[in-house]
Order: sequence, then structure tokens, then C-alpha cells
Amino acid sequence: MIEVNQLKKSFGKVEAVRSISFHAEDGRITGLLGDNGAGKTTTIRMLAGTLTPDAGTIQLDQKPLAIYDRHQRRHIGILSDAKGLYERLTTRENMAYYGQLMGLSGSALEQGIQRARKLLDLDDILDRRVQGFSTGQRMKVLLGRLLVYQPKNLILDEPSSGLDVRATRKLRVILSRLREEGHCLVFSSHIMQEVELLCDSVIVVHDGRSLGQAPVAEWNARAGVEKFEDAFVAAIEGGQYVP
Amino acid sequence: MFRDIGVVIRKELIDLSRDRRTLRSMAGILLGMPLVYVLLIGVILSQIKENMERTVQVGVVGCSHAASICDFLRENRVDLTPLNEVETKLIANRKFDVILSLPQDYEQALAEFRRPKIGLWYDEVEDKSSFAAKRMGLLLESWQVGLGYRRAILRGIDPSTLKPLQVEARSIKPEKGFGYSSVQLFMSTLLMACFMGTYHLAVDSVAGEKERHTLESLMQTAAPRTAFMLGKWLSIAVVGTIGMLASALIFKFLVEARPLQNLLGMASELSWSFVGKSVLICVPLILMATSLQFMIGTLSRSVKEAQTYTSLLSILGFLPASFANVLEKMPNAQWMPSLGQTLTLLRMGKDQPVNWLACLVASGATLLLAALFMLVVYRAFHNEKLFRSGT
Repeated sequence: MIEVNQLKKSFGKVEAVRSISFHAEDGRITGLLGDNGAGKTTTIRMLAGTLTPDAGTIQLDQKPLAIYDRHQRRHIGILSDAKGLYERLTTRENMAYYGQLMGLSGSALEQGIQRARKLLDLDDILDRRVQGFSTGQRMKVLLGRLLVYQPKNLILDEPSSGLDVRATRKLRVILSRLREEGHCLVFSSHIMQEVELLCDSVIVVHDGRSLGQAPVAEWNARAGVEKFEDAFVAAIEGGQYVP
Repeated sequence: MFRDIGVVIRKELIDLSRDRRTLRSMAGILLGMPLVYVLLIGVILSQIKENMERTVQVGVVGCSHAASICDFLRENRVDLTPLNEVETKLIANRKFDVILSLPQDYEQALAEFRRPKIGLWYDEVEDKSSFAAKRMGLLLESWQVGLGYRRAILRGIDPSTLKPLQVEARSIKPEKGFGYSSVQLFMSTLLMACFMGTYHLAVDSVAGEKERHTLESLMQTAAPRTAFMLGKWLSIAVVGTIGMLASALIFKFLVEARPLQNLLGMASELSWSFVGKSVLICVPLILMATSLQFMIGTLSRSVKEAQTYTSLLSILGFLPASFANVLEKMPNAQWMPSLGQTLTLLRMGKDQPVNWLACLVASGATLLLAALFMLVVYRAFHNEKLFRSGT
């Protein structure tokens, strides 16, 4: 479970995040929806611990987030916008490296790799070097790197960007399965359809502020529209807050 | 923490073993440079040897006026070709190494106890010509001394009165052929290995990860950031030290190789004790160079930017070796980092007494610098700006 309250972050004179609050529960997919530059990635980087908030609080499983708390870090998996992989390492080696850095070794590490292999269907690329992989294959490795140590909370920044239709569908299946397993998933995107299909709850982010958090149906009802896209536009144009 | 450092080192070494570009660059510097240096010694010394042994080509104006000199020169591997006048272009065209001009009144001037003027033209910028001029100068000096002795004897004067002193120059070091040249180049090889051997690896270690967008996700793992810093740094330092050792051994092997010694007709030997001490003296230098390059890699936004600064600073580190003979005269130079080690190597090479205390202090100062650079890296690793600077 993740709870974010009144987060703020500036880079010099630029206020990237002015006030973002939301909560993400276990066994649910929570969507962060907003235009490019709305503040989604900065928020995720604060959750990842790579940026320190200027103000506000982040609670992970009801404890304040501490950047250097090793135990806590094992319970959070981040797929940030920095989607780099070690090109000269194989899929297995990439996953093993992250697993080891998360404290796994021996049979626990091997079990984690096998679990990720099955879930992500990695058989054909498991022992191949990453160099030359397609975007979809790279995304599988990135997800595998997280799944190998099975963090309870998963935060994914635009995971479907660059993926083709089939890979996106596959990704949706994987995320749904993780939800069923009880993981807390935070998922950022600017693609309406994806958010509509996947998310149990959606936070609309605009100009560094969260405009509210509610299921898609509730956003539509409040705006008096049928399409979620219209509800989203109404929300950001009106700057209305849905409690 | 130690387990995490081990994990990082293992990954770095696997990655390096598959990085052909970096391996080629390291092999070029660590293994190629000793070969280049040894070949360089070979070429230079074989040229000197050839110049000493070869027949000098001399154009002579007025050989008939001083037949005795010409006969003497011919007996001493000088090939004389008569000329009507001094044509310097014949030297420029390399037809002759030098041109000798003997005056028409040579015999008469000697008879009248005047000193006949002999002209010698050569090209100073051309090695062959300049070397030939030196040989001709020595031969003519020798002829002149012999002539003076003969004239003194004819007049009943003891020839020793002409040269009352007997100077006998003796080298205090046993002749080892290209011994000292090889020691100097060995020193350059080691310093090159210290400052240039792993620079590509050091630069790529953090700046490369920023460029490839892998650093940020790495820092999101449970391993402490200090473990990444130390793991990466240690892997570079270990590879660098092994590389320097390999470089030293290859140099020793090449310089003592029979084919090269047979080719030159000279022998050289670098004792194991000298090689071992030199490598040990250079270990603090490699740690300092690694830390400096690692710091630049960490603070740079891209590999290209890091390469620019690293190559400049590495040259600065390497400079003392190039000017060691001059810097030796600087007061307190032996106590300074990098310079102290260079001067110690130089004195060891010259078989001169070494101030080991100064070397120890210089090594300590070098390690302190390395620690300061790593402190900067530590701060950078714990600052969010590290992730903001990627391209």
C-alpha cells in the first residue's frame, strides 16, 4: 500500500510537482493519468527515492518511505522512465543482477528467475544477450528484473510506451495477474484506453497537481459524459477536484 | 555491504569481458605500448649502430692538396669523392653526408707553421649528416694530434709536452648496451599504464550508465549506493593493477628477447627486483588515477564529456615522466604525489641512492588525493543531481 500526501518538488524556478496526493491499495491497479509534463514521472521518481520531495510525505505499507532503508526497498519495485538494460548481459544475468542487489541468492534467486520466466514467457530470450532485443522484449526483461524479487508494491512509469498492440495486450494480462496475486500496482500513462481497461482507480494529474482520485465510472458520472476521455478533458480544463 | 560490492564487481568484470571496444583500447595501451617502446629503442639504437659502422660518404674539394689527410680518412671507412667546388645542395640531396674543403696552400701553410683552414659542411637537421660530421671531426682531430706528435719528434721535442695531460674517461656503470634507455622507457610504460590503461573503463563506468539509463534503476535497488561506488571503483583498480603488471612483464620479456638483442648486437636486462619495486611504487599512482577518472566519469553528463576531461587530466598526470630530468632539480619535488614516484623510478634506473622516506610520503600524499577524489564521488552518489545529469 502506498500513500502520498501533498508532494511538492521544484527544479530551480520550475515547479514540477505542486501538490500531489493519492493512495494505492493492495490488489488494485491505481492509474496516474496526465498529459506529458504533468508531473507523473517526477512523482514516480520521488517514490523511487531518486528525488527527494521538497515537501509532503510518502508512506509505504504504513511506514514513511526511507531512501536508504534496505528492508523497505525490497518491498517496492520501480519501472521508471530510465528504461536502460545491460546490453552485454543476457536476460537471465540482468534479472540475476537485480535480484542479487535486492538480497536474493542461491535457490531463492533461481526460483525468482524461473517465476519471471514463466509469467513473462521468457524462454526464447532467457539466455540471449539483450543487445538487439525489440522494444517488447526489452520491456519483458525490465519487468522480469522487478518480478524476480517479487516486490509487494510495483510502480510502473508508462510501461506500454513503444510497445506494439500484441505486446501491450500481453502487458495488460501480466499486470492483471499481478493484481490478482495481491500486488499494489501504480501505473502511469497518458493513454486513456489503457487506463480505462486496467485501472481500478484513477488519479488525474495536471500542471503538477492531482485533481482527484476515483474509478473511471465515477469520473464519467461526475462530468456527465460517457467517454472517459471527455471526463478527463473536463477535469483538466475545469481544474475540478473529485474527492 | 561486502556481498553487494562482490556482486557489483562480478557484474562489472563480466560486462568488461564482453566489451570488445574497451578491451581493444586497454590492450592497445597496456600491451601495445611496451611493444611500441621496445621497437622504438630498437630502431633508435640500430640507427646509431648503423651510423657508427657505416662508411661515410664525403665530397672533397682539393684532395690533391692534402693527400696525406685523404689517405688517413680512407683508412678509416670514409669514402671520398673529388669535387671541383663546395656544392651544399649535394648534402641536401643526400648524395654526400658532408663536404670537406682542403685549401690549395695546405702543404705550404704547414711548412710555414701557419694553420691551414679546413672547411667541413654538413646538415644539422639530418641525422646521418650530423653524425658523419661528428665522426669527421673526431678523425680530423686524431689526424691533427698525430701530425703534431710527428712534428715534435722531428724537432727533438717530447710529444707529451704537446698534451701534458692524460685523460682516461671510464663509465662507473657497467655497459649494458641499451640499458638506461630501456629503463627510461620502462618507466614511461608504467606511467602510461597507470594513467591511460583503464581510463575508458573508468569513464564508462558511471557516465556510460547515465547515457544508457541504467544508473537510476540501479540506485533504486536495496544495495547501498556506497556498494556501487566501491564495487565499480575496485573493479577498475584491480583491472588497472593487473594491466600494469602485464605491461611491465611484457616490456621485460620483449626487451630481453634474444631476437631483438641479436638484431642490435646489444643486451639489456631489467632485474626482477627492479620490475617488482617499480610496480609497487606505481600502485598508489594507479589508485589515484583510477579515482580521478572515476570522479570525472561520475560528475560528467556523458561519456564524451568525461573523455574530454579525463584525457586532459591524464596527460597532466603523465607529464612528470616526460620532464623527470628537469623536474628533478625542483626543490622538494621528491615529496610530491606522482613526481616523487617518478623521481624514485628514475633514480632506481640510474642506480642512484633512493630516498625511500620521500617516496613513502609521496605515496601517502597520492593515496590521500585518491581518497579526496572518492569523497567527491561519495557525495555525488548521494545527491539527486547524479540522476538529473544523464543525457
